[in-house]
Amino acid sequence: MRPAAFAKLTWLEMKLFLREPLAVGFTVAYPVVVMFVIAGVFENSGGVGFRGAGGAEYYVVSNIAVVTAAIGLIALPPHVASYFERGIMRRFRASSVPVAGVIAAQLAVCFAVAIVAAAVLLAVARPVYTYHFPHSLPGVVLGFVVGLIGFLALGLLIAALFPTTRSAQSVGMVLFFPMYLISGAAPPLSVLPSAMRHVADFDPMNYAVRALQDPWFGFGVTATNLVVLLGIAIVSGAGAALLFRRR
Amino acid sequence: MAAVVEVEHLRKAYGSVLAVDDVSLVIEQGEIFGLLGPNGAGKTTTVECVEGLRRPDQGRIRVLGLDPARQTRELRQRIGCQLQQAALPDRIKVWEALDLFASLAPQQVHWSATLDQWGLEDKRGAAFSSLSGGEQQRLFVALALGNQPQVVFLDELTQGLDPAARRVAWDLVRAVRDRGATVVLVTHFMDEAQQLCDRVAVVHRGRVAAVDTPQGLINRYGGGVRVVFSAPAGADVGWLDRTPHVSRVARHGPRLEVTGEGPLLAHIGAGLIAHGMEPADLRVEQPTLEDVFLHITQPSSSSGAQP
Repeated sequence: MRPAAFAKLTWLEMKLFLREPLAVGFTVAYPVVVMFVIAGVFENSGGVGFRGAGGAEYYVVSNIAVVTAAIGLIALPPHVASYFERGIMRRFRASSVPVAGVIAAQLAVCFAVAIVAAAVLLAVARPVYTYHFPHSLPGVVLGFVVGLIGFLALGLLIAALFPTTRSAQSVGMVLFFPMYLISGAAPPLSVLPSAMRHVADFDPMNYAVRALQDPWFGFGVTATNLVVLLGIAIVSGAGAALLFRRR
Repeated sequence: MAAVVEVEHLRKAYGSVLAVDDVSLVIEQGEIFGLLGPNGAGKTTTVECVEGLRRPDQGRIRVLGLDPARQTRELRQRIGCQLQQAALPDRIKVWEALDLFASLAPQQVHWSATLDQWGLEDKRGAAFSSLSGGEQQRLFVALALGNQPQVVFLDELTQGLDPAARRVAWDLVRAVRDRGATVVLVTHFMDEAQQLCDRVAVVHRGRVAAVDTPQGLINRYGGGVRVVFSAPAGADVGWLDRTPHVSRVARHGPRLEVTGEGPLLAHIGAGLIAHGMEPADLRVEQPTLEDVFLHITQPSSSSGAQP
């Protein structure tokens, strides 16, 4: 595929994304609403539970990870699955657009949307809540990118494993909400019962939340978070590639 | 005439289901070649192997001298495919689809002309999902022709089109051929194959049962011409058996059905006048591709089939 054609395809995918109210709502609006509600409730709390940050600040930062998870688990799987299910991939393949090219364009859109959604979240929170500039900006950017890659790969694996649009969408939702509740972006991890905290060790969103919190609040860049997220990305990505190739 | 598509002993199974058993074909440059057969005969699988969308289990395929399984990329630049089961994203607009597909072609393509040609100019800004079945079909054909291909594969082209739109589609297929492209048409519509195709391969149970021009097939398998008229019960029609070209005479109540070959009608007409009979309902029934098709696919029930 020539670069000009790929650029055109990516721009088209971007427009298609913007015409999908559910996808836009979940990735851009939903994290903002959740952030406002919870940050509003805990605005004046602070201390150990919120890792030394203020309550509002804690939720502003954590919800950036929710943005990446919503894109990977809710927006991406039904979109990719529908392309296979409805014969859109076949149509593209027959006109010299490889499957990998279509998926690459979709991932590029997801990246752009994630950056915009995170910027929107920070921008609308600015006049309402106080939050500090990240301790380590490169660390935050790294955590954001690695977390996003992990969720996008997971989303592709869902689309590959559940080939109908409907099932890919349901599975994405079913994974998203429990993951969210014990990720630390809902109740802080420190208030979870110990059993639930053990389950949270297996929650990818937990690692994505901490990959942002740690460098933002001054706990440095934690290798564990990044390694786990990259591991998820590699395993899911390879699995999805294998399954897509067999179609 | 140069061969554009060559298929030798193609075989393709999906698990335990044998879709194509043994298909061999030669399609020549500039012809409209039809693949005719019942659903599940293996037409689409054959074409998809030729297009490089599926990998054959056995057999050799060359399209414009290229191997579809290995030289897929070069081939795709030079062929156009309209697929039987395909879709575009619901919210893509007609012009966006044409614009995207045009950008994939190796040469400069002006897609607005295609839009007019296929009667889609009013639908330029319409979303794919808002198009009728016929409009979607026309868009797919327009996309297949976007790169000005040398070979065009049209799989169930007129599926979902109303009769008027079918005629328009047929004219456009002829126009595509007249511009020098070779057209491969997959269809289960007999009239379409008969009207449009220079040559037809009847595909049955994963094999090519017969290949010829529509008329050649009719001559070979059509079972002759039938002349039908009414005659009173007591009338003497014994002379019919002695009339040249007649092979069989059958009476169904008041109706006589005479089967034969060649200029049957003229001889019967002359005989009728000579015997003082002037039936008002004298008519000739030419066999159609449908008779050929039924003869090949269900040999036992080939008689009495009329569209």
